[in-house]
Amino acid sequence: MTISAACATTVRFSPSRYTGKERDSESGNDYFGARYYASTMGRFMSPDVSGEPMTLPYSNIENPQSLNLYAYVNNNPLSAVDDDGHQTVPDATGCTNILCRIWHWLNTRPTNSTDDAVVGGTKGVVNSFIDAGNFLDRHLSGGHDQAPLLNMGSQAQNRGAFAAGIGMLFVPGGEELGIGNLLSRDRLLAEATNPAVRDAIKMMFREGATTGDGSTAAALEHEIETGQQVGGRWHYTKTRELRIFVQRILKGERGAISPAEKAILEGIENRLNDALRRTPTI
Amino acid sequence: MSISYGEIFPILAIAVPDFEPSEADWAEPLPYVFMHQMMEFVCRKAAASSHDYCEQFAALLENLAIEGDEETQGLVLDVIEDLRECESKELIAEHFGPRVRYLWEEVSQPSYLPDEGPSGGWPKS
Repeated sequence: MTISAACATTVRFSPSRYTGKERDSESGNDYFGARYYASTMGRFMSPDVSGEPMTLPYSNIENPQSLNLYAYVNNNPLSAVDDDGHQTVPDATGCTNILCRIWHWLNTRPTNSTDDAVVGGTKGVVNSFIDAGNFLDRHLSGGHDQAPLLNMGSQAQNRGAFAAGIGMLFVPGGEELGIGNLLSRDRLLAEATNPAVRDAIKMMFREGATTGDGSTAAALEHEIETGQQVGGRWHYTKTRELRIFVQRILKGERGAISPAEKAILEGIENRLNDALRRTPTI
Repeated sequence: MSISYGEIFPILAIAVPDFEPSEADWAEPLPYVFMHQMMEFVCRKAAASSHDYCEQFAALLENLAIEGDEETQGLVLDVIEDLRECESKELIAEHFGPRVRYLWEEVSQPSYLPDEGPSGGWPKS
């Protein structure tokens, strides 16, 4: 028996195909719940019909691709996933695309995880996708920032700063505000005009930091997990003070803030809370 | 070391006379936030050629670096790292004392990594 023959007897092709959906063995189409997707043609076999009466389901006048009822995630599979055959809406994490969901999982997993190497590797891969996405976004959109692939900054100078980790902040509700759910430090600063909000962002994300998501919270988490300082000093006090500062801004003590700035501050506060909750109590 | 982090705020409050804490700052002092904002203030003043502020700020950092406890020294390092983003940083750095200058030179290296800190650690007293 040849090696290939031996392999042939043990290989089992999974019925799961594109984006994990089951493939119908007779038609060769992938079943998405609401309808079938033909991978050979790169489109759905039937139009996307909403359960709710509406003129044109899931249409967005600013995005002509949304008018194509046969397209998979507006013909943008790098940035979004379709779970059920209908146009995707944000899930509980606020994410509408797979990279956002992976990022969310990476940064909300339990700290006693023993799979740090796997997580670290995954972060690297996700980061590569984010970079590739931003590159494609910039070039496919003619250099404009319209409809950004991941709604995050793609400035070249950011790449080095976030090369090792994922230097991004998860902004709850950011997508609805048109700023995206995952924002880099530069994008956060670009959205903020209130000086106190800008201070909070700069204190949260040190330029060039790569531990975890590059935030002060990640530095504290690393210190809790390893017992080792990050950057030659401890980060508990800074994390605690920054949270109080953010809460003061949110209360309006530092002047008016825009909805986008509020969302950013809430994202920072959530992240700081995550880290401070992990602090051992004495 | 005679300055503990818990007692640091009154020292910060008078260090740069034109940068004073608000009532809210006094109610619950946040030295990290206050120092970050002081650095931004001095940076703007340095850009406008107001060198007195640079001297006051540099003297404060040197004092904290020499006399401060571990947390206070951590604050100093944090501020020095912050300073890298200031456009007029070199105008401020001219006024640094020896201990802060050592840290500044470490932090200013192109190869410096914020997550690793100064390669030689803190200078010996």
